[in-house]
Amino acid sequence: MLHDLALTSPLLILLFAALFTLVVDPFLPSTTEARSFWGRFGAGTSAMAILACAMLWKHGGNEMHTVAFGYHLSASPMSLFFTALVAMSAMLTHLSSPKYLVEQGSSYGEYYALLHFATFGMAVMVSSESLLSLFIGLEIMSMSIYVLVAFKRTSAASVEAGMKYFIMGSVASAFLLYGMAFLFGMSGGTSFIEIQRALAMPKPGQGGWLHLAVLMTMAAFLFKVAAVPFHMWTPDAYEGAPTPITGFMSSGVKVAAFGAFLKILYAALAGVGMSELHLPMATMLATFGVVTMTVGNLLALTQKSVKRMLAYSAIAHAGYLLLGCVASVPDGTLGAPYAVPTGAVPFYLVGYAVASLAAFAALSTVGSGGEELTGEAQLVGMGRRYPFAGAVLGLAMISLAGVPPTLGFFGKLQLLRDVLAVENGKYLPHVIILVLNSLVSAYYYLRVTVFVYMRPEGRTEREYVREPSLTWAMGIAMAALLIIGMLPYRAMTMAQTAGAGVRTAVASRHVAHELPAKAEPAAAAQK
Amino acid sequence: MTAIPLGHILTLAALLFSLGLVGVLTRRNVLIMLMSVEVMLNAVNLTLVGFSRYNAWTEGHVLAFFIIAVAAAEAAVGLALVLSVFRLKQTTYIDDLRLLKR
Amino acid sequence: MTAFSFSPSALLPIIVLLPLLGGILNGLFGKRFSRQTVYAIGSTTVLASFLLSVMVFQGLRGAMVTDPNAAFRFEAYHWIVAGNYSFDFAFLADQLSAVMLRVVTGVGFLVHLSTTSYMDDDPGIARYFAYLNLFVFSMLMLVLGKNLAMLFIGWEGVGACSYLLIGFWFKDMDKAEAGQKAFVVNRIGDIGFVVAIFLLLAYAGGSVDFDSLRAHFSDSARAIDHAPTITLICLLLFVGACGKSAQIPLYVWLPDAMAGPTPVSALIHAATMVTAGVYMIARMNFLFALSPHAMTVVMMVGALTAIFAASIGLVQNDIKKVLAYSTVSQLGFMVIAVGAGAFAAGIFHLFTHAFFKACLFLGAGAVIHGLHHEQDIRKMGGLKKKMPLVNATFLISCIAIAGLPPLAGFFSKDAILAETVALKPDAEKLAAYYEGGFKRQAFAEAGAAGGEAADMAKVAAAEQGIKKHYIESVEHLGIWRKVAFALGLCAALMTAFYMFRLYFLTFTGEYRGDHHTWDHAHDAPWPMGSALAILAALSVVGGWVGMPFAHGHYNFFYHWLEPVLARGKELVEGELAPSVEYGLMGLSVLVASIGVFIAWQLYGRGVSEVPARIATTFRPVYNALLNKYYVDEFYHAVVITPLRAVSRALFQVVDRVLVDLAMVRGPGYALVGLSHLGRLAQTGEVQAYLIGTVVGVAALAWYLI
Repeated sequence: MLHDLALTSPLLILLFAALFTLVVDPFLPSTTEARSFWGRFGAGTSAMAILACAMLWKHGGNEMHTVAFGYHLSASPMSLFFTALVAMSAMLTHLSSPKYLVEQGSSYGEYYALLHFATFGMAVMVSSESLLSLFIGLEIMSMSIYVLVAFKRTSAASVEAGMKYFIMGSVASAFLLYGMAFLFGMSGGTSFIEIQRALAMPKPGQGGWLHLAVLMTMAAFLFKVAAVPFHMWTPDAYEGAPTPITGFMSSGVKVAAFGAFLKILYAALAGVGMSELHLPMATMLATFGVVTMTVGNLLALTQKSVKRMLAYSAIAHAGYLLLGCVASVPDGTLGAPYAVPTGAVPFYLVGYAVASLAAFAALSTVGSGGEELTGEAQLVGMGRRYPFAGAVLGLAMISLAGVPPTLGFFGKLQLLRDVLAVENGKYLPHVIILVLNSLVSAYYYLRVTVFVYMRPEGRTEREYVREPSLTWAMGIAMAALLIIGMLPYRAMTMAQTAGAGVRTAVASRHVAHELPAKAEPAAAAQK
Repeated sequence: MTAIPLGHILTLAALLFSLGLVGVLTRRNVLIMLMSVEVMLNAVNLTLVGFSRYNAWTEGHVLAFFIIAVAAAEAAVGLALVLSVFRLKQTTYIDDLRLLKR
Repeated sequence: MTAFSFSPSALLPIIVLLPLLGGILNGLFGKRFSRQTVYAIGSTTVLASFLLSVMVFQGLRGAMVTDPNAAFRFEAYHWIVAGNYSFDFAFLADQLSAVMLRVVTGVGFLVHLSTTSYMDDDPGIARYFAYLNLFVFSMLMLVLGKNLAMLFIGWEGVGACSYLLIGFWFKDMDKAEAGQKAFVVNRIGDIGFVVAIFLLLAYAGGSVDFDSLRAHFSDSARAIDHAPTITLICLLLFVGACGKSAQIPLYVWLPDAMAGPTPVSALIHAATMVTAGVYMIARMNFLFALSPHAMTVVMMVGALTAIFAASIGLVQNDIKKVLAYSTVSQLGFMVIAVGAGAFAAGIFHLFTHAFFKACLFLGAGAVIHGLHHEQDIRKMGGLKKKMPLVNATFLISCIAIAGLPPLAGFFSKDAILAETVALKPDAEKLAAYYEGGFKRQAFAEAGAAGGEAADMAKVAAAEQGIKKHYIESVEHLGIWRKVAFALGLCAALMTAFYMFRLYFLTFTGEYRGDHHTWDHAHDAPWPMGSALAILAALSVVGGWVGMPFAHGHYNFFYHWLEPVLARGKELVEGELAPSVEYGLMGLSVLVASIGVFIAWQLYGRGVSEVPARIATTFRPVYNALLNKYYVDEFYHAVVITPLRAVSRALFQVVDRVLVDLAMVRGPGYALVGLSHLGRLAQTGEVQAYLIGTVVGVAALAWYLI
């Protein structure tokens, strides 16, 4: 029991922070300044969660029994990497929120509690080793995010965005559950390891169920990561949400969704590729990836609102990442029982999360007193009036565009390389499309910097929100972009370890014993 | 007690799921859409319970309970959202929410 | 001499980081600093870098006593190591880098110094200095990078800084657009460069480190022995160089780049950044020398650029435009040199050009500043009286660039022209290098012709045939050297003419502007004056380090660069008889003198009717030159404004509709159109979105079932 608690300490820190915020908030004086305290508190607790992850990472290693609470949660390298990443997203969001909320007139303690709950849900999601914990985590996250999106109660846009996201999201949840129900029906268990075992040796007549299960689960995850054509909620939800929450959605939610997706693909559905049911999961993911990135970039091209543009760019990045999901080692066959993802997706997510958090933090400095100004034209003069925020925004855009030598560039580089390595360049056409796409995307990213720096100012002098914790958020994001951009090697290695740790050491050993050798799939089918 | 074949349970659940989906797709009233989502979730519960009962498993029942709890939470959040929309716009029709587009 | 053990390697990161530090300080806190503080930070960081560079240079000299191939290397850390690929974050200071280092930091410092008087009334001074320091930082990354990846970072960095500085006065839309033009044109070149880097990564063992590349391409057993592949890589690298070093057809951005502040033009668009392409080719000499065909293309592009730009420079009336076209033309000379295999001569010209062209630009800056931002030379004249110092330095630089002995430009330009005809690729050695490739090709041919049992005699015969064919094709390239020489000579004549036309119109004769300006005209203030004086002095003596063979057969500059360029020199050989060399030297002097004489005849003796008469007589030619052969308009029409001037000839219509609409503008329109179309789908209705989801599920189902 103690062991379980120790392994899940990052999650517990987040959970207790949420509960503490919820319980103590009513006793604080009802001033907006008192509420702002929770921002710093949240950043601190998130940092503690990151620290806990780091300690577990350091003392973990393969020999440690990393599974907690009876195969429901784990502290595998992948869980820890992604937990740390969502906690980092939460930390920056906590820091950049208080002033924004005060300006928008909705500074309440519940916001921070919900943010913690959402982070906790994400952490559960990416640490899950069973369908049950995955689902619970997903719902805790989604439910909190729905409310957070609609948190500006007086803003029609915010409430509308929340409503739309909620309806779409709950349908997606239903899809996921339906898929899970069939996975359960085939295996009789909810843990990934049981499912994996059952899928490798399906009983006669279960082929249809498997198809249905994979179909529904995929649909739900493609929805969560905003792949085309499941993407349509994204721009509306991103635009209506409070700006820090938009940042959180494009970083934390995306990280959690891809973390869980990798687990589903490589832990639960592993073995599918070996059975006689050849599900073309890899080609399917790659196709969705290519379509998603193309549509995302295309639609981003003509957006005038930077917030909405970033929503479409989030779709485009989801496309890159989907393509990255097919990159696996050792021989690049997604679905083989020993295959693990490469470090491409985890590493790319680091760069993407930090850059989009930086961008949204910088965006939330524009405009004060309740109005939100995120049109391109409203950024004019930012480079002069608030050079720091301008620089952060510019750097974030450059990184998102993937210009060397930023973090975004290395993310893309590794992703390209790993995808190309799969089956001797099977995905070369996809990679070429990706490169063309990133050329197109450079246009609209750099346009933002043009507005920030190069356009002459009008007569009106815009006010910018300046506040220490917001500055900290931008500073941390900027430092991360620069430092990891200059020294990407360490982070790449960690991402690789994370990818290789998709299944816990114990779980892989289980499978290794029980799966039939690759040479005799026919014998397996006869059983 | 005659056992109901698993196939029948799954078929019923599938029908319910489709019904719910069609409901969400076609109804314009947010409240009815919420109900339709509940129908979809209950179809899932039915599937789970059906599997569990047929195979004498227990985890399916547990999962179903979790889903019921989550559905309740979802309903609470959904109704709260409906309420805040109604406060601002005096409507519960999804067609009236078209501020954000393009 | 030194009591403590000390390796200059450790200085390299400091040299690079000092300007970065200055840039960061001025960029972030510049607004709170006083003007003097900004000047001080900006200039002293670069000065310190310069002094350290001198230490590195001297250290290298010392080290070469014991090891002729000495070079300093500093490896900061492994940047990316992934599978077979590796990039190190590392610096390399060999003989070539050391020369560039001194040029960049030295001229950089002088420009920083003179900026303090040129920009004395500009409110954005901190931003300006921050950009300028960042530029020096990027340029140092470029010249000190130990591998192509580092070089590319610097390459992009200088491009970005140049973009920011050209558009420095961004409130002026034209200037902002000039910046964007430079940016876009350079991107086109960069695509070639990046593809070349990737090809090298793929073919040359996963490393783009210069040392290992050189080792790779010196050993035919390890490297690619397929001649067309090497030619392709060289040409792609050259596309990158074309963009940065403003060669045909990508030179168009450089004249427009004159929109930036004049000291920027002096540093970036004359002395340093634009020479990056030449530097890169010289750096990759071991690769280029392997492909005489690519080298010939390089040489001819250089020659055409030299004469093309020089002819435009003949009639320009904007003082900075003349200098801009002159820069393009001189860059053409350098490219001729590296294309002809005279790598050392190319770097030598780069070296001398940096001094006199920076001096000319700063002088022009002083004139423009003194005349309240007047740039039209038709409204100048007689400035000798008002600006004696500027006049003297400008005259010295003009003589230097015209190529009159014993000033710097003479030696370098003469060396280029002489070596262009003197050298020729060693076809036998090249054939020996490509032997493996020929063998494979011979096997393939013989195999295709005579069944699977390859007849060894037949293969040997085929191999001989291929080899002979190759050697012949290399030897046939020799004719182009003569063409390049002739074009270069013409360009040299024009250079002498237009530079002195510029000088006479600006500094001699009667003043032709309004008197208010004349009364306020003043000589350069001391910071600029001292920079001018130093640069003028260097323009005089700078060439003496590279006295040609004829003067005693010892050429310090060539000898110095030898370790870096050895492989290139090995493959491209040749020497002129001293008599021929003296003859060519005489020819150079003669041509330059003729140019100067014509200029004096037409412009030096007061206002003359002759130029106007010539202009009327040859009106079409004159107009074509005045309008820079309409190249900008051509690009504008073909690339930017469709169907604006449809007419004249049918082929033009075809050209516009086919090339312009279908290939250039089309994709852009199509993308934007699709984007608008796609946005229509985003109706704001949740149920429409849900339909999307259902469509997605259907697509998934189609895939899975």
